[in-house]
Amino acid sequence: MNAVELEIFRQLFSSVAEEMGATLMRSAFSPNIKERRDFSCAIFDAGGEMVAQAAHIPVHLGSTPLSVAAALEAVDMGREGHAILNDPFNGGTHLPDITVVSPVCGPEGDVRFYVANRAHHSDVGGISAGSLPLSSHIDDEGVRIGPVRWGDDVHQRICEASRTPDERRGDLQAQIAANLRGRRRLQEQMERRGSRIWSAAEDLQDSSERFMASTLAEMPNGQWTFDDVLDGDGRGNGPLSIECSLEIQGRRATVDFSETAPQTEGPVNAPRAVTVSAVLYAFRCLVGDQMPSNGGYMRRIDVQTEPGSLVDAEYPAAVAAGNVETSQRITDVVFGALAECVPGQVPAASCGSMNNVLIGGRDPRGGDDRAFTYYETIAGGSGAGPGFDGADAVHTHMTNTLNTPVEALEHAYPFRVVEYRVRRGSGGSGEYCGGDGVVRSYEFTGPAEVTLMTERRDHAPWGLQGGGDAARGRNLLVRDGREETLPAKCSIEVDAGDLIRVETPGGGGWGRPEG
Amino acid sequence: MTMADDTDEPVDEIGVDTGGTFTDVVTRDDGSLRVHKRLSTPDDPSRAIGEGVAEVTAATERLQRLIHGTTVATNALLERDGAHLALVTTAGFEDLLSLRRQDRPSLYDLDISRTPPLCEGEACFGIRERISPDGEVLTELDASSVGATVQAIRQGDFGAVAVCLLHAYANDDHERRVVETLREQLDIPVSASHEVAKVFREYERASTTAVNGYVAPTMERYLRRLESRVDCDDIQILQSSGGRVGIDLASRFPVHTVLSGPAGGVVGARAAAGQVGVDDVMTLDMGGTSTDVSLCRGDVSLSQSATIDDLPIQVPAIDIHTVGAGGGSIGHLDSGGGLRVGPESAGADPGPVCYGRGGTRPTVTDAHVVLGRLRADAFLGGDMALDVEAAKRAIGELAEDAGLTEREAARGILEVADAKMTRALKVISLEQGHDPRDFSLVAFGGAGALHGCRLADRLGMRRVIVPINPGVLSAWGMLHADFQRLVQGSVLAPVDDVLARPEDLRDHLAELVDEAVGDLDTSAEAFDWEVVAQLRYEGQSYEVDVPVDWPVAVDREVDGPFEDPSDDFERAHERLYGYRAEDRSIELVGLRLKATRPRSGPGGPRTADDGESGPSSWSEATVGFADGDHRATVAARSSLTSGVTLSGPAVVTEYSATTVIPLGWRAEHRDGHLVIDREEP
Repeated sequence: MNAVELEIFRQLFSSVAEEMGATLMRSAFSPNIKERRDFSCAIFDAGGEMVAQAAHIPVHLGSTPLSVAAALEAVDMGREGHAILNDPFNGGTHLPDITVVSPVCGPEGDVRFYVANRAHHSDVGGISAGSLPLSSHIDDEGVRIGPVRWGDDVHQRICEASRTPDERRGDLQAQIAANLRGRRRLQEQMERRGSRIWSAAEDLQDSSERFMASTLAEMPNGQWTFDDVLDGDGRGNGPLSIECSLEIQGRRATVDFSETAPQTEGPVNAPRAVTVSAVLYAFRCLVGDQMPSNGGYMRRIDVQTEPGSLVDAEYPAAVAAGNVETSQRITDVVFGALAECVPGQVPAASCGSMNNVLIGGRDPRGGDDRAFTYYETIAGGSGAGPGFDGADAVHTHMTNTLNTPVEALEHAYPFRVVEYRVRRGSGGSGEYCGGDGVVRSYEFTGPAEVTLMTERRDHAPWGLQGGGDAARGRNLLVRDGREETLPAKCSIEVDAGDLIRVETPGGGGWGRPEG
Repeated sequence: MTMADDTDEPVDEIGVDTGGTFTDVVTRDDGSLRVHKRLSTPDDPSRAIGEGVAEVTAATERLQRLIHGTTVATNALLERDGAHLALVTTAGFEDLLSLRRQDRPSLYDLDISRTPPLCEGEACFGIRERISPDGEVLTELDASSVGATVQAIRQGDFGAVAVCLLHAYANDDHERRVVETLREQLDIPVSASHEVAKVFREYERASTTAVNGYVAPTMERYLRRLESRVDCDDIQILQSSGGRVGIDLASRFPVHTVLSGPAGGVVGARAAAGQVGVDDVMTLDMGGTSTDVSLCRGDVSLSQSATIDDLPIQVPAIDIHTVGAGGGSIGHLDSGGGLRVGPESAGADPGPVCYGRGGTRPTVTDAHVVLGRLRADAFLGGDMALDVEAAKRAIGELAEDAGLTEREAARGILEVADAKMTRALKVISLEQGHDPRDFSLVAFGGAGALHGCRLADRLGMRRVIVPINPGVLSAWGMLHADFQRLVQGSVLAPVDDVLARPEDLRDHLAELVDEAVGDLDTSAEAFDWEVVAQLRYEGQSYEVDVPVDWPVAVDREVDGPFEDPSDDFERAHERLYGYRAEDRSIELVGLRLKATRPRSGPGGPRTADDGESGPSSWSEATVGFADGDHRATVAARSSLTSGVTLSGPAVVTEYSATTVIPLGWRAEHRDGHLVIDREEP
């Protein structure tokens, strides 16, 4: 396949993945998908290798292929069916992320591609609203599915488990609609282009491998280690160490997490898929954005993890926050090691937490006292780097979800946002300054259950090359005029008049400040 | 401001489009059409207009109307050369513009530097007040915080103010009172979110209001200068929606013009298609660095939200999709071995290699030159020599790196550029549930007609139209723009509830009518009204626009009938997203009204018939097409007159554009335009 065809097929695949995303976003029902865009869409070849992923959420990058592999192994989808799953120990990451995989058959009826999308559902059951609980067992986190063939029964199971079944129904329907759109587009292209399109899928992966090989070739050979910690697991255990040893040898890299702490009681354990995603993301940033978005470049990077560890959790570990919090720390340690290998290319630590906020209760408006669950993440500061300041109030690394507009939130839910501002001065100092974090305060008008799943409340995001650390985050409860600091991870009952204030960390500074 | 003419009779009028290099003036008087090009005067664009218009109108008695497309507001925004702006918002949300939507634009870029917001930090003021999504007052407006804010703004040397209070779309009482006080006590322009864009989602509404405030003083100064330079009582300004409004509205709401640059071209393309009897078109405006595409199904498609320079604006604009592929786009190999075209562009300076002005990297234009599609002897009417050998060398180097022949590499560059444009055309058609085969393609801009037929082939389209004088289509389009006002209002209620109270609906429509034409000295009956219901299933966030045939209560006497749009909505939802959710209730998010004073634009100019030469002047040359080299007819556009047809392979040259007609396509001259049809297979 020549250079021209390669580019044409790259465009073709990525346009299909993007169109799937547009379909999902516009027809979904929960704010988490339609406003915050917490989803990803991708195309896989018949062997389950990723051919293209739309530029959605990085944490899904390395993990969706494992979903497809699990679906392929366990489910007979037929020609027109779909597989669905969320089991973190069998192709999933954490229970709210539900993945739908659908085969795409060629003109002769044999499977030539798979299309998949993953969306974060704002409640799939479990012991607290929003399904990111302070759990100690996977069974506390919600309904665990398959991989199984999509049908009324599994649909029913998910909806019954959820506190908000109506929303689940709508979102699942939108997920199926997105895959049907992708299937149709690929079938049209197969009819038009025949077998060229199958070989293009392979060639594109080779192309992305060449990108990575040429980046690695420019890096010095050697070995570097870096370690950092999670504040804790929310159940009294911590700090928890994550260590990464990076080895560059020729055009290959090995990233070894063997020295990382064992899996813990609380929900910060990460399935291996999450760890792989974080490594992939960090290397991808070094290559630049021209690289075709597929799995080919992963062939150059070997990720080693110890089963049963914090970064390779085994059943029945609690994993709810592994995907959203631990993933950020894994990214930090990979960048930390890379900073020693190629100091001129790596920025200081970013905020390091997705600052997850989950609110559940009953909505007295409308008269039917309907149950609601709300999920959002709050941005922080980004790390400064060689030649640039960090950005304020932005999602970094493994997530890129949007905020929910206050006006949309208050229309849909019975609580208010009373303050939303940049947390001035929270970025690290330096020749280049880290970005500032965010302050967001919620006021309640009735009883609700609030879960905070946050990090970097004890251990600050670090500066680099003499740059200062950023301010740590803080979680506060204001009740009857008294201010109380809440733990980094907690579930609490609130009532009318209570106020919760989340202050997110900034990003680290880069380089020694002048003077 | 007046709207002088109430008749459909042609008046003496001028369309003026100011671009970076040229100011195009198109005049119509007594039914005949003339085209003038002048060098622009970027320091004060009104100077070139004044001089151009004076020159043109010297012969005629008096100019009745000037229709103008201006990028003054756009440039003030892009160059960050607007007002020192203050933002007034609800206390606690002063950083609204800095927080944006908290996402980063490029996923894998560790440097997240963004263009700074139009106003931040000390320039943002919070007012103590709070309104709920239902419009209920939760905290009364605090007069002392209003007073303090006015005081601070007065002392702060600001040039404009933007006001956006939370939930002002639902109840604008607080915002109105704040704005009144500001207007009373300050003598700088105050933009209010409920006047500029009464839509929900606070960041987008605040951003729109801020853009309006930021460019308002610049626009006002410019329009005043223009008035003093042109002797004309009726100056109208083209909006991003493709409609035009009077100069007063344009200076109060300049945000409506910031995306008007490409709008004139789309209006012109649609008008050209209309003159040859075609209603449904996609437009392809290919310039030096990028290509704009849009879809017109009868009318232009409007979008309610767009982004300019990282700033969202929520005002109606022709739905234009832009891709980074133009004549100057550079072809290069990426490190995975793929051939990329753009987004890097050689621009106008140094320009493509063949211009011989120092460019060394091969561009789309160079590929056309190497393949003989752009004729070196006919470029800009032969005024500019093209360095074919230099283009060949540049393409040859790329070819060698890619393991291709020179002609393969040139074809490859075109094919990749075509793939990008095809993708853009699919986004606006297939992704919106339209089959491209039901549309004709109108190709214009400097390079559009070089690619039109090939793109049509790729999408199964059967007709390409290259309008007369594709280089000044935008100015010509202005003469075809309707006088138009668009207004919208939020409803956010189940459609069944709304229909159950027809008198409320009637009143709501009447309010919108007042908003649309209340400040014009023309009665509402003089307009054509279109109503669009923005509907969604309850719980969704994205609305589907459904045109409804509801009577507009111009006199507040009409009580319907208001037909239920639910079926139309569900059909549209299924077309767009592949399913209906029949058990869900349908929500009416908002209403949009369009008031139009339709006009008959000028007919096709006769200038193209002036050409005295016919087929006898045609020659032959070897030209590269997608399927290889062919001997092709080379014809000057002026040689194509009524009744003459030209079958591909062929190349048609004219001053500012070249049309390539592949084998299997046949062109004919109709009403000044070139209509190229696919011959039956």
